[in-house]
Amino acid sequence: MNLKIPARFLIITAASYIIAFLFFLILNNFKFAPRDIDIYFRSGWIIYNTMLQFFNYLIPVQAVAIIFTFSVFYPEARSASGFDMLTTRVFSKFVTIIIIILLSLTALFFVGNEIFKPRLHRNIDNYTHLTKTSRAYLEQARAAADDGRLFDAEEAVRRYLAIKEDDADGLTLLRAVEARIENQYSAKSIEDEESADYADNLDLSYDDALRLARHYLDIEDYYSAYYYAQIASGLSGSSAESGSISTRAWTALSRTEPSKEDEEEFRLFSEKKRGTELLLAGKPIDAYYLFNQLNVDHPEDPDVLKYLDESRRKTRELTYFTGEAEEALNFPGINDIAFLNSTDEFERELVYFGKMVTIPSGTYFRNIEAIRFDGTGVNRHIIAEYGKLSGDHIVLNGIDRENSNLKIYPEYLQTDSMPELYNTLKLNVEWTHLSGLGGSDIYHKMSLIDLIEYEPVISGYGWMVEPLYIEIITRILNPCGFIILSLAAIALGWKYRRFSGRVPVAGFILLPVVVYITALFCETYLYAMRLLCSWIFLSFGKPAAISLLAASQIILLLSAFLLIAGLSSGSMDNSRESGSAA
Amino acid sequence: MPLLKFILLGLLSAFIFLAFALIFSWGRWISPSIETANSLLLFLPAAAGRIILPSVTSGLLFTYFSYRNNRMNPAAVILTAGAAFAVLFFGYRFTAAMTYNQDAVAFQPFNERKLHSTDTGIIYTDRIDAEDSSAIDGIIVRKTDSDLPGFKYYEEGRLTGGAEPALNLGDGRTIDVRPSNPVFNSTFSAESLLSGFTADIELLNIVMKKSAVSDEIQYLVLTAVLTSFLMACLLFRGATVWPLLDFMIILALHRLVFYLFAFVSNETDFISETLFGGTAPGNIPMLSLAACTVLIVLFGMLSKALGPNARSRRTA
Repeated sequence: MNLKIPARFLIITAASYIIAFLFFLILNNFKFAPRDIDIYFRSGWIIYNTMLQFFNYLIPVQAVAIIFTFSVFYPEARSASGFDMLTTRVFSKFVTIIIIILLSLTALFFVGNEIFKPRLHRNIDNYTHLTKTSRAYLEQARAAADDGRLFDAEEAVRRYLAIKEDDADGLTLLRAVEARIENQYSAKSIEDEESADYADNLDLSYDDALRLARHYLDIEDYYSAYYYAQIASGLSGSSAESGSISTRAWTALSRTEPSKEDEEEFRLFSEKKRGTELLLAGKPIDAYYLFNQLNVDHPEDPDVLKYLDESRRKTRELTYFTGEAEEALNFPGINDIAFLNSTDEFERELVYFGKMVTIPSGTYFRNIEAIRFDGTGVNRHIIAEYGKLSGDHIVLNGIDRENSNLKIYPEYLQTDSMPELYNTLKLNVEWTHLSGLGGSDIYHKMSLIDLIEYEPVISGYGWMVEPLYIEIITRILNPCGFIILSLAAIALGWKYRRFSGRVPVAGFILLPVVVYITALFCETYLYAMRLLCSWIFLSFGKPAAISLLAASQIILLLSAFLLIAGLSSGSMDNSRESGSAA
Repeated sequence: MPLLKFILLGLLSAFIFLAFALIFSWGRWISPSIETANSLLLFLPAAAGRIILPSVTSGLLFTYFSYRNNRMNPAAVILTAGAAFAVLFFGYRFTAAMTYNQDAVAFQPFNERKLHSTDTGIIYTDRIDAEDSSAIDGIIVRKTDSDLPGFKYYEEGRLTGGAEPALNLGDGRTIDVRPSNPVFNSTFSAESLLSGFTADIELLNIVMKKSAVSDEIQYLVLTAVLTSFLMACLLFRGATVWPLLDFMIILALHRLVFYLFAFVSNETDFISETLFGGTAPGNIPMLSLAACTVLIVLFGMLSKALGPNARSRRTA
C-alpha cells in the first residue's frame, strides 16, 4: 500500500487509539472487582475507567503512533541504488502537514482532557458510592423485613430500587414486603409529587396574589380567596383591593359556615381556618402538622391539599424534613469539606461538613461542625447531624414529616453568644465553591475552568493557593507537552528508523515494551516540567513563573522544530544509508 | 573517542538529573508562607547520591547509540566500561561518606491561618511565632472519620522532628505529620510508572552506599557486577533492524533488572530461608544481579549471532 505520510499517520493514529482503548477495556474487565463496585454498575464503571485511562495515556499513545509512522511504516521508494533513498525528501515534504495535524490533535487533547476527565472522575466516584449505599439499603430492608418493620423495609427497598431500578433481588423483596403490608394494613395514599413541585415553585408577588384572590373569589372558592387576599395585604402593606376581597371572602365564608349539627364538617372548617391563621401568622411548621393530620382524615379535600403544600413549602424555608435529608445524603456527593468560614483580626470560624449533596430539592449536609475561636480559646462550638442550605444559611434544626414531637436540633457544645439566626450556620463562602474545599488531593479531578475560578478565593477559605496554582500551570503546560513530545517522537523515530526493508517483527512482538518505555519517557518529561514550574513559581513568584515557563516552552518547541529541520535536511541520513547499504 | 563521549554525555546527563533531583528534594521541605526557604545546595549530598546510576546509564546509552556503526573497537569498549566502573565505584563511595544535612533543613510545614490535609486528618494552625517558627498558637485538629464533635482545639503546640516533623500538642500528645509536607505532597509526587522506577533505583542506591561503607571487597564486586550488567545490556544494540527498538529493549532490561534487584533486596530473608535454609552462599541481591547479567550476556550474544548484522555479513 503506497500511502502518503499524512494518510499513513492518520490511519496509524486511529489504529493506536483503537488498540489503546481496547487494551484498557480488556484491562478494566479484569480489574473490575465486584467487592468494591456492584455488578449492576459493571458496564458503566468499565467504560468510564477505560475512557479515563485512555485520556491519561493519550500522550504516550500518540507518541507510539508517531514512532511507528516515522520509524517503521514510512514510505519507501525503491531504486537500483537502494530502497531508502527517497524517504528524506518524502519526510521534508510531509512533516509540515503532520505538524498541522498534530496541532489539531493537541487542541482535541486539551479540550477532551478538560471537559471529559473531571466528569469521568465524578462518575467513577459515584459508582463506588452508589455501591456502598445500595448494599446498605438492601441490608437495611432485609433486616427490617425480618424484624417485621414492614414500612421501614418498604422504604429501604424503594430507595434501593431507586438506585438499581430493575434489580431482581430488590423487586422480589419489594413484592414480598408489599404483600405482607397488604395483609396487615390498608393501602396508603401516595403523595402527589406534582403538586408538591408546584408548591415548591410558588413564589408570589403582590400582583400574583391579588390576581389569585380575585380568581378564587370569582369561582366562589372563598377560602382560597381569603387566603390570597391576606397574602396580598401582607406583601403590599395596605391595599384597598386586597382588603376588600378579604372582607368579602370572609363574609361569604361566615355565611357558608356549617351548621352545628354537622360536627365533622364544622370541625374540618375550624381546623382549616386555624391552619390558615397559623400560616398567616408565620407559623408554617405548626400549620404543616395541622394540615398533614387533616390530610390523613380528609385526603380528598382540595383546600387541605393546597394548604398542606403551601405550609410544607414555607416549612422548608425554615427547617428541613429529616427523612428528606437522610434520603438526599444517600446520594453521591462531596465528602470531608473543611474551610475557614470567617476570619478577622480577633476571631476565626472553622467549618467542617462530613458530606454535601445537591439534588433538585436542595443542598443537604451531614456531620456539620463549626468552631469559632480567638487568641484566648474557643468561643462557640456547634455540631449538627444534618443541615439544609437556605439562602446563605444552613438550617440546622430538622423535623419529622409525620410526628411533630420528633425534632433534631444542633448541639451547642460551647457558646458565648447565639448566632443571629438561631439554629442556623451562616455561610460566608459562596456555596458553589464548597465542592472544591477538600484539600489539594482533589485538584487533579477538577477542570481547568474550576481551578481558575478557585484561584482568587481559595486562600480566603483557609487553603494554600500555591498547590492549586501549580496545578493550573501544569494543566496549561500539558498541551505543550503533547506537541513537544510528539515532535520529539518524530525526530527520534526518524533518526532511529529501521534500516532494512524488512518490517521489524520484533517491534510488534515487543509492542508492550515500546508502549511502556514511551509512557515512561512521557511521564518523566511531564513530571520534570511539573518540578520545574513548581520551583520557578515558588522561588520567583507568579509573574516570573509565567514569563520563564512560557520562555521554556518556546525554547523546547523551537528545539524540537530545529531537530526535525536538521533531520529533514537529509545530511545525517546519507552516511547511514550508505553505511547500512554496505 | 567513545570514552570521551561517555564522559561528556554522562556529565551532561548528571547536570540535568542533578537539577531535577535538587528541585525534588527542595520541594519536600518547602513552606511558602514562612521565611524558611532552604538553599538548593543544602540538598546536594542527597541529590548527588541519587543521580550516579542514572547518569552512568544515560551516558553509556547515548554514547553507544550515537554511533551508527554497530561494530566498535574492543579497546574503546573496555576503556568506557572501566570509566563507568570508576564513576560508580568512587561516586557511591564519595556520596556515601557525605553528611546529608538533614538537621540543617529549616522546615515548617504549617502556615498561618491555613488548613493542612494530612494522612491522619486536618490540622489548622492559627499563628506561628515570628521569632521561633517551631512554636505554634491556636491549633485545631480533626482526625479522619472521627465522630461529632471532631474538632479539638489546642492553645499551643511545638513542631519537633526537623525534616520528619511531628506536632507536640502540649498535653503529652504528639501527631506525626504524614506526609511530612502536607501542602506540597501531591505537587511533588511522581505518577505510578516513574515513581516505581525511581523507587527501585533508590533501593539500589541504598544497597550500594551501604556496601561502600561496610565491606570493601563486596563493594568492589558489586560495582563490577553492576558495571557488567550495564555493559551487557549494550549487546542488544543492533539486535534488531530497528535501532529505536534496541534502545527500548535495553531500557526495559534496566527496568526489569532494577525491579528484580529491589524485590530480592526486600525479600532477602525470605529467599535465604526458602532457597538456602537460612545460610545463603553470599550476598543474594548481588548474586541475583550477576545471574541476570549472565543471562543478558547469553541472550545478547545470541541476538548478535542471529541479528540483522550477522545476516548481512553472511549475505555479503
